[in-house]
Amino acid sequence: MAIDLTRRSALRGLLHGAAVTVGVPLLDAFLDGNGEAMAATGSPVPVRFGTWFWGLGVNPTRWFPDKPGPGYDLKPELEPIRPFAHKINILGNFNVMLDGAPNLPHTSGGAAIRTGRALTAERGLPGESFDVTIGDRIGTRTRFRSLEMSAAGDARNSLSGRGGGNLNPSETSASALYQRLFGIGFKDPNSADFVPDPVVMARRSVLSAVGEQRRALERAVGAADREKLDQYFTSVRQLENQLEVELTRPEPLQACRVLPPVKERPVNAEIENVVVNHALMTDLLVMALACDQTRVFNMMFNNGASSLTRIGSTITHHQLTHEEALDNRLGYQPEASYFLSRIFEAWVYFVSALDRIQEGPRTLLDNTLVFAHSETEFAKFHTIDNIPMMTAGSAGGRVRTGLYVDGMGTPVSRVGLTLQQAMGVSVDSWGTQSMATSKSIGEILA
Amino acid sequence: MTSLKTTTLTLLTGLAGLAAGFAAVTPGEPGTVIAQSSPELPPPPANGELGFVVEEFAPPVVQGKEACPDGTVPKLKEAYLASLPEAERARLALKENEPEFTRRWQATAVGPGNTNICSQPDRFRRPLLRTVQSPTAQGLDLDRGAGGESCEHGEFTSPAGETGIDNQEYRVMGCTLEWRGKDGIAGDIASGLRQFHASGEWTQVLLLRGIDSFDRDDDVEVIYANTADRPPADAKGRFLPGASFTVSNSGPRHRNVLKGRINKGVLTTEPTTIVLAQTWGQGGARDLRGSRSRYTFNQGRLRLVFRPDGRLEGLLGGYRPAFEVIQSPAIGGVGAATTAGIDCAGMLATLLHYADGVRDRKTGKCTAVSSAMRVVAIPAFVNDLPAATGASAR
Repeated sequence: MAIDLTRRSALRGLLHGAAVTVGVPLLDAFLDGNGEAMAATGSPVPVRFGTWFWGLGVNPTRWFPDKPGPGYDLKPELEPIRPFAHKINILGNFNVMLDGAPNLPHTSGGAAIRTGRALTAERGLPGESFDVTIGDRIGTRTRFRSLEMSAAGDARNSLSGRGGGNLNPSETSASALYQRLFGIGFKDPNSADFVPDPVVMARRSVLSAVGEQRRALERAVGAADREKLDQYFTSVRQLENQLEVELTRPEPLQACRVLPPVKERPVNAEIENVVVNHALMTDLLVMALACDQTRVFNMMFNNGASSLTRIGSTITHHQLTHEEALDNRLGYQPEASYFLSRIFEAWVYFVSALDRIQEGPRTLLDNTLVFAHSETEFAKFHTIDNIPMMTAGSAGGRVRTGLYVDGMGTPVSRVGLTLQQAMGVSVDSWGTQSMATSKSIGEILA
Repeated sequence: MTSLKTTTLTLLTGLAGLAAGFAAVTPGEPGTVIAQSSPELPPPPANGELGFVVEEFAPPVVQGKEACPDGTVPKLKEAYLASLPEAERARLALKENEPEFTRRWQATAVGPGNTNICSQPDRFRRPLLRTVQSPTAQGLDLDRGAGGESCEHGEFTSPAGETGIDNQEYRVMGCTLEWRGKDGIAGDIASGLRQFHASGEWTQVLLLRGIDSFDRDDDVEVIYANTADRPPADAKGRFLPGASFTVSNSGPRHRNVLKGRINKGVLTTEPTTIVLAQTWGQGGARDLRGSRSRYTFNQGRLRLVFRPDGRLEGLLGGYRPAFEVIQSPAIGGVGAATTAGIDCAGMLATLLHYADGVRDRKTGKCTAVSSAMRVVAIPAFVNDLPAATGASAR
């Protein structure tokens, strides 16, 4: 007997008045011959986007390659990435243009990279961060529009938001992240059973009813208030989309498997704990991506003015960068650089975790575009030109990898523009004032 | 986002480790760049105008062990530890007591009423800092040895042998770690200040008008101003010559018009007040994010040498208000003390102790320190905007 493996052939029925579909487990047969699309539906394998942030920059002479192009040289602080260098791009010599705004230490650089604007306010972001824009493009049909995580604690440690002083708060506990991802509400895409959650159905119906009132309210207020309402209702619409997703039988996914629960453990800025928390969060994130719970993420390894310490010490990474004199013979600060080593080991763990997951002939890393960056070039002086940046993964073949790109002093907004274009956002220029650009980085676009 | 209250730039403006820079220009002849003219200068420009963008602007530090024989100025925690009995020092130095040690030394940075030694340095009594002991310093003879309005002070001799050098800022700040460094090459300030000139935040231009001769010209107009334009740079960060800059036309606008003369390839200007941009981003919501700060050189003057390769190189000198020297950590607030270990109160007290210029009319005490900045400028096209719009012209 021939079996039709399209999702539309799944069993349908009613449960307490709710529509129910019952699928079948995922087999390799769900992928097409190239492994680039779901054979059953023809829909492409999901392409994901995420950011990975670390605070306090690098020692520039020990990090940036000398030779632009493929086969870049690896300086001591980049040496850990060697096994993955062919899947990683290094971006250097892109500048943050301030246009008269002050350089707010540990703040201006990251905000400019994410928004293409110079920061003028104390808190929040000066505009929408491009990860949110990308999320609006690719993240609307998953359970979570995006996941924000901070391995060093502090839910406010985030560079993601729609502007106007708002930030998407970060999850700080791996245990809580597990519960959010795989606890109540999780639908295993490979499970044979699917039962829509009556609570979710009720919430959706409530929102539908509110929708009428929303439209009436929008008609009743002035332009300024409508603008304020718009950001709020954008969130509401996201919620509606996500509820819709939860009432739809998920696409079976080859690499998805549910991880065992994560136990509560200390959340603080001690580097030893941060490394463990980061690893746990990474493992959970990887499976959230493999299970298509989200297609957008933001991982903060530490914060901008890094609070990292070593266990038993009160001396922070930030303190060392300012207190420890630069040794001109060595060309760096030896004590502060200890933390850099741990940071790039964690980055390699993150990349390798994505690369371990096979999705057809490609890996999850290949089907993802990760943008990693800091907020300063050299923390001691708060320099924001030439902030170290990387991309990892090829976004399903849309991005070339293994390159060092010398930005030659052009605006850092070129990076954000390029990443959005790679992820399918319809944008041909981005940024404001001196950071307004329509020149994407052609070297890395496939 | 990160809290800004604990962030600070650890630079302290004033003189700094530019000895390495001098060596690069005139190997084996430190100091000669200031005093000697160049015999191989090209003919003066046909229209009498030359423009420059300032690539280096930092205090010159004369390296060598004799300057600070007891070492650099202790950081706050080192000073606190040194103030304790030996047994207590040994106990607090143990790794397991580090949290207690940190708590105790950081407590010395704060006072009643939410004050701290950097935001309110005049409210704390701290010991004076170690000062430069060597008789050698870079700088200019600001009082021409006659005193005048100046308060009593010791004078330096330049590495080239010029006497009467006034540089009390260097005397006070020259033994700080930020200025002197730890490697005998340069302090952090030498490289730290460069970014501000590369970014357009503090970028300075010079426009010289009416040049008839590099050998002797008694009437040269010098426009010394800030520009918001970023200098283009090569892959190593060196400014490219020949770029265009427009004098800033938005406030706070700093455009100094100086009366200069050229004698045997050396440009000097008559004393006047010179004000230039200096803004700092740190400090949180507590203040104006550095917009209140600036460089002020009372009785300020330039002495610059024309180089055959087109550069201008030399010194800016004048008397700087004592507080202005510590404005970066002062704006940084308590974070400057607890993160970077800077004793702002001790610095201000020492600066005022050695102040040699700008007498307070009521107290008769000097309120400013003689100062010098090394200036290196490269050729550029400068578009002057003599008339300010909506900003105060100088």
